[in-house]
Amino acid sequence: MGVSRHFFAHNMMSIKINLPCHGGLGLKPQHYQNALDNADSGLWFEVHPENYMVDGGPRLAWLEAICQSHALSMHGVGLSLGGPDRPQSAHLARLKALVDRFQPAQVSEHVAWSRLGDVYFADLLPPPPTRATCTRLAAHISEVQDTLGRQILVENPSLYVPLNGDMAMVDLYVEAAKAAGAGLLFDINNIYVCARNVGGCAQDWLDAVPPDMVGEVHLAGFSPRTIGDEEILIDSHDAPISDDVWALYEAFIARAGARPTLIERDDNIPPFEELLTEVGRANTILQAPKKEAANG
Amino acid sequence: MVDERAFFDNFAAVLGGADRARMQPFIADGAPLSRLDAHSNNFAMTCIAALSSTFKVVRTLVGDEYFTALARAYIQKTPPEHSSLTFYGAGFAQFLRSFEPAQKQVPYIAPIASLDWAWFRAYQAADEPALSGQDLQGVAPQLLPTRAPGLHASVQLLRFSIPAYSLWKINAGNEENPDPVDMNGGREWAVIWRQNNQVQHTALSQAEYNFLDAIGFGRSFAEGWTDAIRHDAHFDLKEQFSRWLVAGVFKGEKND
Repeated sequence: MGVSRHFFAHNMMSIKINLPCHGGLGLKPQHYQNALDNADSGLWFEVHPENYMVDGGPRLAWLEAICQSHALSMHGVGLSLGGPDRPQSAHLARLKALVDRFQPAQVSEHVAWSRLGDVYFADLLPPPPTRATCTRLAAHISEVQDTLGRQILVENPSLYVPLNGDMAMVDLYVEAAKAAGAGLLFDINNIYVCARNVGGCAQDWLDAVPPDMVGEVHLAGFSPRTIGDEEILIDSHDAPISDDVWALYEAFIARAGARPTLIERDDNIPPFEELLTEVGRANTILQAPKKEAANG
Repeated sequence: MVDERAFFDNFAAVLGGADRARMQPFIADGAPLSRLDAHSNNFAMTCIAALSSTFKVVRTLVGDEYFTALARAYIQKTPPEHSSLTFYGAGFAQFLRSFEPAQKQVPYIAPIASLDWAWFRAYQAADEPALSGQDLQGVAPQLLPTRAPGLHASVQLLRFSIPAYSLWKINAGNEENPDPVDMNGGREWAVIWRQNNQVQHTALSQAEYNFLDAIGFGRSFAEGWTDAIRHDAHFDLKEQFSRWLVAGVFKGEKND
């Protein structure tokens, strides 16, 4: 079965932007009250749906309340789209139940794998960059879109080690999304981490990703770690965004125009206000292309 | 050509602790295989963080370093199955019960893990109404003992052969200068549940435990009382019924 039977595949020219073209924040339980109290209607929040796959209780109640005044994005980590097996039907059903209940503006997942057989490896593992993976990845994305009845975005992976294959990782990412009629979630920190860890140039990724397919951008911090006798950058989301990543982001937005931009922070979490400072910096950059257009 | 099946099988094996050399054919540019440790570390750290957020009192009692060692042993024996780690701790208390080093060094820790897990189960249990006085309007008082509402979805009943609840409670709360726990204090019973989206807990007598346990099994208030008076001849059904009705531990009647 080819992917062309799927109803999104013929519909892919450029992506519809579903979230506000404004800075957003990963929603953390310690910031629920801050999020609820925040009056900036442009500020949107992103959650990992896996953390809300519970029967009931305060977590779901908070999300319900925060959704009343802020747009929501659901960014999955568990579908293992880049893996050898089809997405687990039980997991997909739980995701669908959440999407149906909360009607998030955006749903996204990763071009990564995390499952083999009965084991979930709780990491975003890089798939082999091959044509065969690309075809299978597109079929998995299509299956998710068909189940949810909506288009999703897929995120580029971080790499710590270069992998053999018959295509470049960036082509795997773009072509699988294209074949499935999905959009791209472009993580600028990941391309920086990849370039530093496995060589090549972050600019190559910026040049190869079609801006029209990008429906959301992620920005995050990394941390250097010594492994063996070398230092590599871990996509740890536990630090402020680096100046190098901000520079790449600015270059991308100047070319692509404004895109919904998430400040991701999953560990070593600072006060809400500190994260809003990074949201503010993204907003300043997001407004820049418009100024240029007005001046030109 | 990349043998994809071998790629995934070998990658998974390396994450499970096999020799990294199994990934050699798939790594480009002669990059050091040690870099695969970044993924093994992420896998372990994510699982440890998930367990750590659920088993807070266990971690408090044994310390971060020992907790990490226990978590690593658990991951090795029971790697996660579900793509959401929310329920990954379901088997942790049972594991601690059978894990010899823990049994020798911290024999009280498995019941503490049961309490942490019960707290979490109550916290995330299904939203459903608790039985209210309004539900019982129109029920003739003499028929009340025949009602069998069941327990609210969040209710967790626990019993221990050591004073585990007392130990858990003083470490779970913010009590200042709590009384020390006499670990020879004998058996304990407790209930954890959620009311108005707040998790509640309290110690029970054995009679109270038997009463609530009977209700949980779908038996009537009168049958629960029969079970309770085997341990406490003065068990007052009216008083107990009112107490637990106000606390919201009985299942409400669906009224939509």
